[in-house]
This record gives sequence, C-alpha cells and structure tokens, in this order.
Amino acid sequence: MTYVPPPNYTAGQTVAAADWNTYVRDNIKALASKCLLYLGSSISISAGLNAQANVANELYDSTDGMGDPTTNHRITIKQAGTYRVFVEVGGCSPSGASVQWFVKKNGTTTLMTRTVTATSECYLDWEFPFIVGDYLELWVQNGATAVTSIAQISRRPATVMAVLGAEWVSP
Amino acid sequence: VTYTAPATVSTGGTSTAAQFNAAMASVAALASRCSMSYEDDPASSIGFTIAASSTAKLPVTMTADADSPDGMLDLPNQRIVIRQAGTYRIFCGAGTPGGNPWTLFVRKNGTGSLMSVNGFGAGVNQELDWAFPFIVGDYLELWATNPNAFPLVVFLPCGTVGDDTTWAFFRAEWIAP
Repeated sequence: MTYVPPPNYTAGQTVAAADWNTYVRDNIKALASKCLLYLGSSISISAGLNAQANVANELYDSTDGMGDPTTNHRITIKQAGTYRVFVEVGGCSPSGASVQWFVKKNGTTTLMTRTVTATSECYLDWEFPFIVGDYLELWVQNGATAVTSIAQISRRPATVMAVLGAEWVSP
Repeated sequence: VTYTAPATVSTGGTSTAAQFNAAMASVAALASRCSMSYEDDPASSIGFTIAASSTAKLPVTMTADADSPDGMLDLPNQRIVIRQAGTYRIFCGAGTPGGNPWTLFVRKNGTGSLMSVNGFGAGVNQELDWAFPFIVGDYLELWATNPNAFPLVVFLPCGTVGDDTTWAFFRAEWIAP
C-alpha cells in the first residue's frame, strides 16, 4: 500500500469500494506515516562497542503503529514510499572521546553515518525509498575511548539525547 | 475535528457520509501547518529589541510565510492557533545577540513554557524543536526573557531556517493524532 494519484470522477459517478480504499484510505495513511523515537536518558558506551542504541521513548506515531520503543526499538515501514529519515544525537563525554552513529535498514544496510565528539552534535536528514516491512534502527560504534555519557541535544528538551525519526514524503 | 484512521469499504459497498466526513477531517489535519517569521533588512542590523529586565512576546511584527486553509496564523496577536486537534511539531528559532544571556521560549495559551533555550553565545542561533498535543483553540506564542539591565537587540540571522533577513521564525505542523 502506498500513495496512488487519485483520478477525477465525472458527475454522477460513484466511488467504488476499491477506489475508496486506494485513493482515500491508503493515500491518507501514507500522508500520515510519521514516527519519532528517542533516547530519553544518557548511556555509557564501552570502547569497541558496536551495537544498536535502544531508543526507548516515543514522541509520536502513525495510527498503523510504525514505532516500537519497547521491544525492538525500531521504526517499521507500514506504507511503502520515500521517507525523510532524520537523526539527532548530542555530544559525548569525556573530552577526547568520539563515537560513530549509524542509521541501519533491516539490521544490516547503513543508510547514514556521522561521528560526534564532546564538542559536536550529530544531525542527519535525508530521503530513502522503502517497502512495507523495512525497519530502521539507530546504531552506535565506539573506537578507542570509553564514553561515559551522551549530552542533551541543544534544541531538544533536557531529557533527549538521541532522536530517530521517519516521515513519508512521496510515493 | 481531528485525524482518524480512514475506514475500509467492503467490496461492493459504498462509503457512508460519516466515513467521508471523517476522511476529509483527516485531510484537514494533514494540511495543518503554518510558518511565520520576523524579517528585517540586514544592512540596517536593527532586528528587534527586548526591553531591559523584561519578558516579552516577540517579535513585534511577524510575516506570514505559509498558512493552512483554515487559518492558523493570527498576525495581529502574533499567534499560531490550533484549528485541528492533534500532536504538532513546534519548530522555532532566533538569532542570538552576542555575549549576553537571554532565554527564548514557547508559551501555550498565554502562560507557562512548553520549551525553552538559553542563549549566551555570540553569533549562534538558538532553535527549539519538539512535539506537543493540542486541542482546538489552543494558541502558541514565541516569547523571550532578557535578564540584563539593558535592552537586548536581536540582530542576527537565525541560522538554519530562512535567509539573511530572517531574524526569527515560528512554525507549527500537525504530525500525529
């Protein structure tokens, strides 16, 4: 299911069930496909760790339930299409440490990546095509120095250290 | 009036008026977004002023950049008014005056603070970006506190949004039921 451009109806023509379900139901669902999960407390990241970051809080979700903040900590695509995927992460401590953040599709494919330090934040924002069932996760990899904490993202509330979001933008 | 998951019509059936109206209400929710900004001439570097030791709604004038068909922008009152219930992403920012503390915050219905950010740096914009639930009739305003004993002039472009003439911006966008 995805967005399909609706046709023009002529006067007197009725909307068949299949047309309603395609042009009204599914199109509205596609347009409303938006979800944001976030990390609501700081985490420690040991040296050498390469693992999924469990975004365990949900700010908003579509009515067909894209977000899974409790079990798999991922966003699952329910309506096919191209999505804007965005990530924000606060800087890490202590000084001198750095970590690399990834957005992964289906547990393996890296879509976007960025390295942050104690003095930088990470902001990634781009569009990717997905099919129904694809899922997105936030992963983190630490090289040499153990990270003791992740800072708040400056433009987000005080308890928000990392954000993973997706919103449908086009068929 | 708000978004509801659209109904499925069984093969051979027809949609009811209630189903159609609910679907169109959902479309109205999806179209609920607006943006206003404070624009000024960069050559003048005037910007807007927050009086000494005061908390004030800002800026004194806003420009309508985009609005929903049901009219969320209230320029005379420098407000965004919620017309469709739901969770909205609120995104705003302003240029930061260098070296002096101040606070940018968003108010709902004229009181309190939904979110805030303290500005201290020189030449760094301050932004706020989060989502909150609202009911029809709620309104949002952009406010600032100047704790200094002198007027504070905000005269810098706000950074990631707008162009060199945009000193402040204030946006709302329906995001979920």
